[in-house]
Amino acid sequence: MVTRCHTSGVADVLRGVGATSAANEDHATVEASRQADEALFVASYAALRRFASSVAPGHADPDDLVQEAVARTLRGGTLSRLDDPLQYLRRVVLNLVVDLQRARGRETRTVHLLTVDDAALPVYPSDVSMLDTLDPVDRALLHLVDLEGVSIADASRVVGRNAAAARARVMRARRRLRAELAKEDS
Amino acid sequence: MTTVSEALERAAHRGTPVDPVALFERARLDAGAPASLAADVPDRPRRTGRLVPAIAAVLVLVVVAGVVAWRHDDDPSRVVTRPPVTTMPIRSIDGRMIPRTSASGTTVVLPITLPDGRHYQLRYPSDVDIASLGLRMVAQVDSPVTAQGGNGPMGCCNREFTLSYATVADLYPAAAPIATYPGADGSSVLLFHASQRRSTPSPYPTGDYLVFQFGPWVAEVWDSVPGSYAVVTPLDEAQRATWASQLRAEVDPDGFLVLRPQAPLQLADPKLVQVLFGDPNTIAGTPSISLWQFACGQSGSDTDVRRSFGTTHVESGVAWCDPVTGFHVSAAGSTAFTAAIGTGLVLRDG
Repeated sequence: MVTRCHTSGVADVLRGVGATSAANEDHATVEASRQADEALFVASYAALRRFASSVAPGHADPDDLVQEAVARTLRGGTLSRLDDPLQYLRRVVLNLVVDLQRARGRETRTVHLLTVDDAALPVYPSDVSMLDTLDPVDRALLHLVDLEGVSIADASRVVGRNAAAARARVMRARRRLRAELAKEDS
Repeated sequence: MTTVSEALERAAHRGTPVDPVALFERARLDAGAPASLAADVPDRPRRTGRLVPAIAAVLVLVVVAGVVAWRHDDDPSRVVTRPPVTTMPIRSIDGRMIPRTSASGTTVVLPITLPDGRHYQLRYPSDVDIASLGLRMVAQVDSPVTAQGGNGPMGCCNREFTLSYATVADLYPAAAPIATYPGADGSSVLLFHASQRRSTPSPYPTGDYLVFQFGPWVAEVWDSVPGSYAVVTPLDEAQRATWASQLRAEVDPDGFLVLRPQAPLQLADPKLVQVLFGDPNTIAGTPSISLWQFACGQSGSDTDVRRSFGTTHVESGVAWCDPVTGFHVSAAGSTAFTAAIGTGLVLRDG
């Protein structure tokens, strides 16, 4: 089975047909694009960081996730090309969290085999760590619907589920979180 | 008692936000962009770590277990261990995307996004590996034009085309295009002969192709097919230029390509979209699966009964019309493969 390292081949082909453009125009265009993307990101940062903070497990830093999400998105092109950069970046953050959780699960199983001292594990306020009992998709939905006031339809697009499935997950997640909070309180 | 809203509010404000301009510049550098002349970006050690493969991450954790701790910069009371962030880059095989999957018990869940943005899921037993077959998509975009001679509108210039997870250089190595047309956002769309392609293109093995690079995907729109296919209408120069500038697409966060054709181009009947796993044009017994809504709901179509077909000593097939999603599912391969698909594959709306 062969896997391929994909880089854009269009630049190579353009050189092959003799396409050129003035270096100064290139710099101006690239700089304008960078500034446009920077402005888009700055305008979205607060909302994106809150989202990352909600969906990330307790041991992950929200800004690390935001930075990685932006880097991955920029590798595919500019932010300006996207219809809804904030929604797109939220989805990338969610994918990163899912990957992280999957890898963490493998590591945790291995670490427990080696008898790690539990005192080395992080300690967080109980209601924050309680959110870790929810699936990242459920955390994302609760954040979007209950905190940001996003509609179920729009939230379902961020998490990649149909609206009916998203609605059911929101209700179950609320019930579960309430039960966990009540248990902690008692 | 803490309410759900209070808990969510607290979770959404963990830690201290950083300077977004500096973070954006660091992300650009991570993405391989040149440093901005205006940037003086202080290094910010990642608290969650760099991208590493999962196995290496485990080894790192083993080495530092119980020993290494970082103090959070603005909260000395917090002792944090830092498992590295692992991400799974999207893999491919021979121009086909290997999509992400997740596990639900012993069931593999494979979400897909079609070129028109619709979401579906394939669910199947974990002892079958559909994802690694890799997938291509076939989409159709229409470009209605008015007939010459005033006889009313005539459908012309509709194009069905393949979406491959590859680069132009992969598919047309060291080939000089016949022509170049301005694409969207300053890109270039290239016209090639089929003979310049590394392997025979579809649907027409001897036509010309307008080739688009959309991120990690290539769209190949056929054109100017020679006389043996006399029923097809080639594009003229103006129409090729229209296709080049108006066929747009974006890559969704899961890596799938979603088409965004601009007028006069428009998405065709959604039932025409086809999802192809594996490569059916190989030796007998090689697994492949086709999903195509167009093949259901017509006279003579399959039903929801999973029908065996084409059984030989090296391969067999199974086909049915899925009642939930409306896809016609057709799978071929070894007897074991088709048996597993026939009994275990479930499709759902995404």
